[in-house]
Amino acid sequence: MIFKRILSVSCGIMIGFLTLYILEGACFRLVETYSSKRLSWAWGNYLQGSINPMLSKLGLDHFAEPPKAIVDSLSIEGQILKEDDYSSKVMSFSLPKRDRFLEYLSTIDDPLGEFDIRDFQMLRGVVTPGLKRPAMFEDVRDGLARREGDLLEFAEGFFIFLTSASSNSDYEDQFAELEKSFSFLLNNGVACLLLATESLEDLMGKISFLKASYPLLAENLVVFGRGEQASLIMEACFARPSTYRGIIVENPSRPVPMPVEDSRAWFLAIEDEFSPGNRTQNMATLSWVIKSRQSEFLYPSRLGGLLRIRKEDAEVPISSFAVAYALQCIDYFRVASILYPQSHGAQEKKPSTFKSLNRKMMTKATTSQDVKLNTPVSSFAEKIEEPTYSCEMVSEYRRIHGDDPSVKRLSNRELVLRIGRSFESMGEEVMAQIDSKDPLFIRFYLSIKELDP
Amino acid sequence: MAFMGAVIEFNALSLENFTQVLVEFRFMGYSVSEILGLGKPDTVADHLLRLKVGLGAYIGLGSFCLIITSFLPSQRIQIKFLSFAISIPLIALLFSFWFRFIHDDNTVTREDKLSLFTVTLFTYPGAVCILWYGLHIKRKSLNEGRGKGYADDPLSPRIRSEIQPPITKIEQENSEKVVLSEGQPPSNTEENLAGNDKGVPPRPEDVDENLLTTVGEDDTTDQENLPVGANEAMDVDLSQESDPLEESSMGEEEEASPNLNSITQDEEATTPSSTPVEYNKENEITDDLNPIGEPEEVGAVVEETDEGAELVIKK
Repeated sequence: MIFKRILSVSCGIMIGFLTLYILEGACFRLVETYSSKRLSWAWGNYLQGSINPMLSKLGLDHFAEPPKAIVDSLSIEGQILKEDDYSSKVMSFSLPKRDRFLEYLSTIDDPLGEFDIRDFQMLRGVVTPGLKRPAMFEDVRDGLARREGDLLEFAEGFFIFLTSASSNSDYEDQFAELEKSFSFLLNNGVACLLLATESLEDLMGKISFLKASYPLLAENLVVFGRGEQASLIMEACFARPSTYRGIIVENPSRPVPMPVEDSRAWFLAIEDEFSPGNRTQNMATLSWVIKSRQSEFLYPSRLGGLLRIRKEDAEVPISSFAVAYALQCIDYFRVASILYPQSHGAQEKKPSTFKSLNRKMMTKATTSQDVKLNTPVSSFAEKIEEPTYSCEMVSEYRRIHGDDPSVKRLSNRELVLRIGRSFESMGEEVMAQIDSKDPLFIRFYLSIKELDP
Repeated sequence: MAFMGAVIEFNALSLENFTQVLVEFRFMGYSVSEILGLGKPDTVADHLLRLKVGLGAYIGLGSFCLIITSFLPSQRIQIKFLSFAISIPLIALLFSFWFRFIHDDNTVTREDKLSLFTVTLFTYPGAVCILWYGLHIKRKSLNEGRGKGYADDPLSPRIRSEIQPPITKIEQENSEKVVLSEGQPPSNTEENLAGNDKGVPPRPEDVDENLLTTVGEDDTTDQENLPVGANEAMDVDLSQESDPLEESSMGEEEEASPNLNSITQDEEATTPSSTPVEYNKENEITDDLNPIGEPEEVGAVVEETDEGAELVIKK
């Protein structure tokens, strides 16, 4: 009798625990809101990312340790599989979003019916989400609006799909294929563009134009490419890492060296299948992935570089994993772009150096190939440097928004006031964090605020 | 019925179709072998092999459970064991599937979610209910316990009623019965049995030959008055002392039991010894019957003495 009672009680307790576990897991797996919430519980918010000590004891997927570095004892295949396993775990929170994306693709009719499709001079077929906000004083001062209250078009992010389509019909076919995926992104506030490009110079020119002419649309830029286009993207990122928030490459055709300085851009590599013969390519991709995760902040240190072997939805033009990753990247930079760490020695390289770099990629002589790019942007940034109100935060801000003409026109004093107000609106915790990072900036801001409330 | 429904549903009327359906069946993107925890098959042949091994093992386990069930004593225990044996694999299967689904990297459609919800909605409560039934311990009240104990007692009224016919037969054969005071059955206590040698007749086979010889030879009338069966009834009642209900009934009997020594002359007058008085409480105890020996050979006589009535065993 006692044995039966013990069995009954232990069975009840066990089933109770299992039920709770399954219930929580089901919510995390199926409910998008809850999965995002659990991510923020585990990692904190974007600005103050920190591991939750209590939840970390539960062994959740969020706390999977990223593969640190390339281990010689482990085969390339083993390391790629390890990276793939890690990316699956750490991005498990995006599964409800991926479900929603695939569901959306199968149900939507007339995907771009409610969105504007326009040509921005050399950029053909830009689809914008139609988001608008009233212009503020800063926008008028920056020349983005004629007067306060005017509606300004903006986007949470900008997704560019690179294609090699040369003919008009090929372009139209590919655009039609991508319409549904674009529609999903547009519904999330992301502008989309199918960009046909053949060379690195062409790509960099178009992207520079976009960022300079439409700063409110192209603030958070994510670029996707496949094959040769993937390699072009990596080269463009090598040249100007600060231009991009995220790059997603699928089966890059050739190895590209890593940027010397820490890249701000998040990097996702998708491989259709593992090819053991292409060791150099695999090593280069792995290097990009591992280097992209090198960050002092939690989110980029976990999600900044991922490698994934494509398993599902082969008929979908853009992998659901890539779409979820792009949205996560944009969401992160939308909030934490100002706080994102930036190496002080960031330098840009001439595109012409890539051919020689490719030849010597696996050697350690890449740093000798670095050449300063004397663009008008960088020279302007140097000229605008003022002796007063010069601090680390202002320098970083200028570096981040180097292509933004409105920032170029601002004095250091105005920038301190503008950035300080943004920080202040985020709360006291952010101000305290900035104070510990750059106390001079806070002192400048408080003094300017006193003089010009 | 379930098998028939499944066969019609999946159009598996022939074995070939059935195999094909089984191999091609997918639930939430998982094959049957994956659902059963047999791993992901690479080829169709591998899939079939896994299914054969896996289903064979499952059927073997099920058969083993049924064999064990058949050896269990009562139908109630059999059903409980079967509930337990079904619910545990069912819950394990459901939970393992959910565990796999949560930790896998597969995307699912709305239809998949709906089917998963439906399966869980019916499987989980069902499995928990039958597990609860399998492990349920029925709390017994005191009365229920007594009743059960009384029913399980090998000498319950039912059984007693079974042994009643030969007793009544003998009873009918005896034209006269032991005369006892009405409503006062003979004492069943050991005290009376052991201490009152005069009042309680011993078993016939235990009767001392010397004692029997002291009894008068001519006592045909007395033989008819012997409460022979009372000895058996007393022995039987003593064997039931562990039964609570029996104890209570026995207590009543003890209170009402007559001390043969206390039978007085007046009582004798009002209740003559020649008049047969049977103590029969709801056909439970018949004191004056002897189902073993012949009434002509073994018996007891109530003799009147100065101290009261005395029971004398005679042969």
